[in-house]
Amino acid sequence: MLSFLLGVFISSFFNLDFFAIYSVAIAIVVIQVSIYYIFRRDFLIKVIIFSAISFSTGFLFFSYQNTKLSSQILPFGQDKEFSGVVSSYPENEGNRQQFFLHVVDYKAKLLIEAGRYPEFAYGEKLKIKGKIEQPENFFDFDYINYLKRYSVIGIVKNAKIEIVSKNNGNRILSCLYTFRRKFESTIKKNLPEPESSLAVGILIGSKEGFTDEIMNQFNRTGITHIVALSGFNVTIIIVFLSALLLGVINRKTNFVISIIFVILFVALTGASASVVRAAIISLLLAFGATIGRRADKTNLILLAATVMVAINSFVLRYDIGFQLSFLAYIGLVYFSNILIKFFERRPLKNIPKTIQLAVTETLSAQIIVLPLLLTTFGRISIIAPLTNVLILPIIPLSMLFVFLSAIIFFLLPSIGHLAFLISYLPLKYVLLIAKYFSALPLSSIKLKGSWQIILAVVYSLFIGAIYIYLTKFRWAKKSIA
Amino acid sequence: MGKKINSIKIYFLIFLAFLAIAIWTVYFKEPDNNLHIFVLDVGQGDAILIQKGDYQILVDGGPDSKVISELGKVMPVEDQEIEEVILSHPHADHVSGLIEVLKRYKVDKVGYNGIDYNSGVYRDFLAEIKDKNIPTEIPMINKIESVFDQGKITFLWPGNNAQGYKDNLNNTSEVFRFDYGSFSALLPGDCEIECWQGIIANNKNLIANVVFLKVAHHGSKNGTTEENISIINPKIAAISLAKDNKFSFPHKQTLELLQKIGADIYRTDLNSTIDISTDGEHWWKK
Repeated sequence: MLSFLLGVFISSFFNLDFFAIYSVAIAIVVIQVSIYYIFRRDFLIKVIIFSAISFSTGFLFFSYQNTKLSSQILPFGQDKEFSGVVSSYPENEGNRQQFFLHVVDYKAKLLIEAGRYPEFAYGEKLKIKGKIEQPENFFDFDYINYLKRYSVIGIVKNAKIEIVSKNNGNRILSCLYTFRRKFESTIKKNLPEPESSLAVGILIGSKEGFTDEIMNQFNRTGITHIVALSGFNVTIIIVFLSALLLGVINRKTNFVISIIFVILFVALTGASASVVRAAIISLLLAFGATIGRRADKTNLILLAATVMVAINSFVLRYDIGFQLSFLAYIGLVYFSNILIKFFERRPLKNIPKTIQLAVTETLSAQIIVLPLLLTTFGRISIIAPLTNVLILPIIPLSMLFVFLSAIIFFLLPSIGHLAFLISYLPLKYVLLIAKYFSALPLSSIKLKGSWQIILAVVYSLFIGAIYIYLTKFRWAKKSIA
Repeated sequence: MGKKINSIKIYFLIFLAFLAIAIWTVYFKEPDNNLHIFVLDVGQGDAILIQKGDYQILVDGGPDSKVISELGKVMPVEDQEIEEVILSHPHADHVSGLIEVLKRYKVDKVGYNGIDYNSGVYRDFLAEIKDKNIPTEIPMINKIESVFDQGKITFLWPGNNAQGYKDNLNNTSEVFRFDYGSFSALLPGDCEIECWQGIIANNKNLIANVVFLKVAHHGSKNGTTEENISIINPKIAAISLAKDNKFSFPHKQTLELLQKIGADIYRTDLNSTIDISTDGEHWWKK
């Protein structure tokens, strides 16, 4: 599986035409397969050849998906009139809204950028008069490939849009999105800004509605991930559910209910890579717990990554959320049990377990995503471990409060508003922490150009060396002694 | 099982603690008896909030939903009601933010100049009002409206004549004077030359010698003339605009005129949100 991912990754650097290479490539695969059968007694050769086969498959796979997407024929730059169905939950930013439109005539998905009002909704059939443009990369951001990850190669801006009809989408998705809209507007009606955006952000993950000022504070203190949905949210949902249901029903039913809720949640939030990652892994873990077997986490990570890349091979290289999410999880799996050992020493031993866990989990995720953050954003937050430890324990609480407040508001609107005041406090706390810590002079540093890469490489080698030292040599020494 | 009940108890206690703190902060906070005029920093546009306790009058909403976060900063946490919204005129840098305001806050009434104007945002604004069944009013010239204990709004322009000035929407701006004790304020929207001429002809004495002026049209030279500024003679002048805006507001002439008259000048591009407070006798900028 590792070599399959590697194949996709390497392939993404070459913009190859699938149809030009496939005859040669398939021949190679056939040869590989036959070698595999000839030498199937020899374990080493078997492993090598098997890796080679997966590598080639991965390589082919990416170029196939890439070629298929690039072969869409769109009338770029011409004034056209066409109609399509809104296929995503429209997102607002400032005075604009963005959504995907599925156009049957072109057999393609387009990104539509329109004014904020009137607000469009999922499943609406729209008649559009305008120009389809090709996306362009800006600054150092690879916008073209970013959009390809969503299977989009055309953008329509400032077009004339008319609504033809409603409810042309998937029934279940329509219901979910209507619920989401209602939920968001309830929060927004009852909490002032920026608390309301934060409430929406931590529950269903959106950076919508934040001012640049707040976003900047979050980046400086390294807590942006709380509003970019992560595995954290999914885990919290599963934990809450099982806490609520355990004892009432048996494990199996509990597991089935968890699956349903997690899948609904993934759909509700637009299936971003990090949520899908978290959903796959936590469901597999829950499955393991249900049937009473412990899963090997390394295999789990590889399986989740392979499934996701097989479905959409662009996520591997062009989706920062995918990369961050997997790296953070890898950090959690491999580093946290090393870090927790520091707390076995005397003076630290008395610190409560919850804080110990918060510190180690934050640190282990931070340690490993750091080089990636460095190369992509060029900014690293130095106080991130501290702010995260201060904030993360509050997050599940605020999620619960916001959720409860919304339910109380639905049931009893008259006291619902008061209920929201309760969720105001933890949210305010998060914002205050971000505000004060971002104002510290050395809260974060910014790096430019080649320094980013040099530092990232040096850092990765350093961490790798420490890891090997800690896991191999130190324990080895101990066992001898 | 016992452990589980215990943890539920703990969560319940935490919940109650938060509830208690929430109620305390709302009901036992220091009451603010002063009146505030906030010229909100909404970028290139206008949004002015007149607030006394939990009573608010919002004049315009700026060019986007930034007004929401600005309102969040200055309004009491538990207050989700804005008693009155006044739209000066339908240009996008005044009306756009109001749509989100109508969506999020309970707005009790809307005053505007009633003009027909074909723009998407303005249509959406009117549609939202209709959708929410909010009462609207086109205030007549010289109409006096009493607000909270001793506040008074006197409308000066354009009454129901807005349609006659539709060639330049800025001249259809709702212009009104606001009084609170011996404090007075003039909010002229984007009022330009024709509009000022009309007001001076009808109600010269009502715009004379006010304490606070929201400088017309973001500090454009058409909004502030030697004639009108010498009548208004403000002690405090506030300009609402964005840094490096494409119109190169504020114009040099405007700033010079205001300096000559001796007004304290505050600008949202330099000072961010401007908070003018008064108890009816004294006034100060925070």
